[in-house]
Amino acid sequence: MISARAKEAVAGGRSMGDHHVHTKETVFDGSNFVKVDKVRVQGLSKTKNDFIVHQCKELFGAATFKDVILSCNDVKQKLERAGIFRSVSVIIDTSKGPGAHKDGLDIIFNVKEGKRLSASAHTAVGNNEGSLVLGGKLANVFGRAEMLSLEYSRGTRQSTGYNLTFFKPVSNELTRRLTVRGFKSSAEYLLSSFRETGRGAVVDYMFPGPLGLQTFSWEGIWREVDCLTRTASFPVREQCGHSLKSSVKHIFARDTRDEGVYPSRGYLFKLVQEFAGYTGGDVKFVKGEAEIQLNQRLFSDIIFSCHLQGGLMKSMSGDSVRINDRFFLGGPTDVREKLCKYSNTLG
Amino acid sequence: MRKTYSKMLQQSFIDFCLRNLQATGMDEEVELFQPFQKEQITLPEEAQCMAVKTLLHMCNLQFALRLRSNAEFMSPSGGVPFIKVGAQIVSEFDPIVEYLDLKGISLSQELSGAQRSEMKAYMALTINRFYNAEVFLSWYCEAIAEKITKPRYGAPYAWPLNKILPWYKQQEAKKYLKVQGWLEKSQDEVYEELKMACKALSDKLGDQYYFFLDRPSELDALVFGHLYSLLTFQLIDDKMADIVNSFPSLTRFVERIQDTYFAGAAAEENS
Repeated sequence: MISARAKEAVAGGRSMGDHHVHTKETVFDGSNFVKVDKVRVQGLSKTKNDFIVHQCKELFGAATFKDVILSCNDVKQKLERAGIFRSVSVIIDTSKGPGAHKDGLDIIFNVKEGKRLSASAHTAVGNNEGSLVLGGKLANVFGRAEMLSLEYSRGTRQSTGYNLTFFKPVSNELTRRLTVRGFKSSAEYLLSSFRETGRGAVVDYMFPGPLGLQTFSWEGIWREVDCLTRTASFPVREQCGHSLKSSVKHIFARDTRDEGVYPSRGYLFKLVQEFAGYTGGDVKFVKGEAEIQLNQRLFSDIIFSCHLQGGLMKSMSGDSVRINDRFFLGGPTDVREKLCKYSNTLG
Repeated sequence: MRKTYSKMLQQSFIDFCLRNLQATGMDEEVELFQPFQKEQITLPEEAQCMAVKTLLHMCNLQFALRLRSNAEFMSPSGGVPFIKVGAQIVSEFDPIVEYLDLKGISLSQELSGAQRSEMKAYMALTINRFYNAEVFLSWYCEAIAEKITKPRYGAPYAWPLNKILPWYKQQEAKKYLKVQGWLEKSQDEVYEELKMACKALSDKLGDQYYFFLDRPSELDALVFGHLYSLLTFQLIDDKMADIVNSFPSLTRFVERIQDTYFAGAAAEENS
């Protein structure tokens, strides 16, 4: 996206004093020293200044032209990732006007802010039912890439759910994410013939650590378990009723995969620790989970992938662990509990 | 020697037959599930649990009492108590009576058709008046609801569930009362209803030991369950107990049944 004009201008500027014959022989590798004089961002209306200034800071540290181009790309990606602009383009120009350095550059970002309010409607199939999901999104709420979204879903089996999420980058840093979420959801476990309805709130803070992504979160959930049929087995029936879980969680994830869904290379290492019941509520347990995924391209489009997941939990109150906290057999992304007391449908 | 052996064989065969006769259809353990008696149960639930327990005692059925804080949610109908026999679960008074009937255990076998329908009529009356009055007093009278019923109902839960769930239950109770047409009644009118129900039962009972014939019927169990709860359940005042106490034949009836069926069980009930 760097305009050709700027490139020429800089290259031309360097060779000003030289003969034309020499310029042709010089290979331009961008290692010439430059100084960024000004950065201008055009097209802002709702976005706050300090947010943009923070994103563009690194441009002033660039010493060579190559650095400038690379950091321009970085900044452009950052702005795009913020999700508040419809388009971002960059122009690098020589600095003009009073006070301009000899090797000075002006960088101009042309941005178009996206619409603040958007709505969506879609259908989803899964969880043993089809559902209609209506959503509304308020982007850039306070001008610093915050986002507020509300989703409401209604399923064919009378289940309703909603999800209100507020997301905010902490101190204008897009990689430090604070998310506050309130929700109601329900899930049916046909094999075990129970349904879990959860209402609750989650606060989590995600930030990049030296080894990988760290997340600290607290969740408070009011859960209700009820039987789907009269023939539900008695151990499942005994689990019916209300419970309140308040837990603190720490997640560490190191992810070098190229894609989340069908990765072709890289690995994922994830550790989850959950401590429930120490901040209130009536369920008390400690739970640890670990997950490793390795992906290796063998040849052509054949990829070898291996996934290992395991967990350990211990109830810290006298009672046994509730059915909705247990590990469940749920396909390749979930774990089955071992040493299960219950027969067939549980665990 | 041979003779004694055959005699022994005969004796054991008789024993076997007798044992089978005693266990008419109920060869599995009966378990009764209900909320915790001391700190959780509410007045209408207490009355219903008491009625079912009395019924089982009257049928001479041994049962194991299981106290669960989530008994209400375990019950398929949402009502307590429920009994579990093997894999079968039956909840609330009327279905349990029907279930026992199917198993060949019935208290009203010897009643005539007319007596039986009279009993059904009195049972409907008891349910309507007593149960509605209990729900009204414990959930709709603000003083009682705030002081007694809500804290008890929310007792097994952590904050804020101990506030939300009782509130939710209260809304349900109000809905129930509205359907029954009891929401417009004043507290005094409800006490009047109670008095009328007691009077009707007292008139029917007269000087008899039981409502029908000389043996207990389902009606006796149901009436005892409600009257006993009205007499003993601690609300903010003794108004309910006073009403029941103004009918001596009913109090005598309660004492009699308590002595007959709960003399040994009292200690166990309170544990």
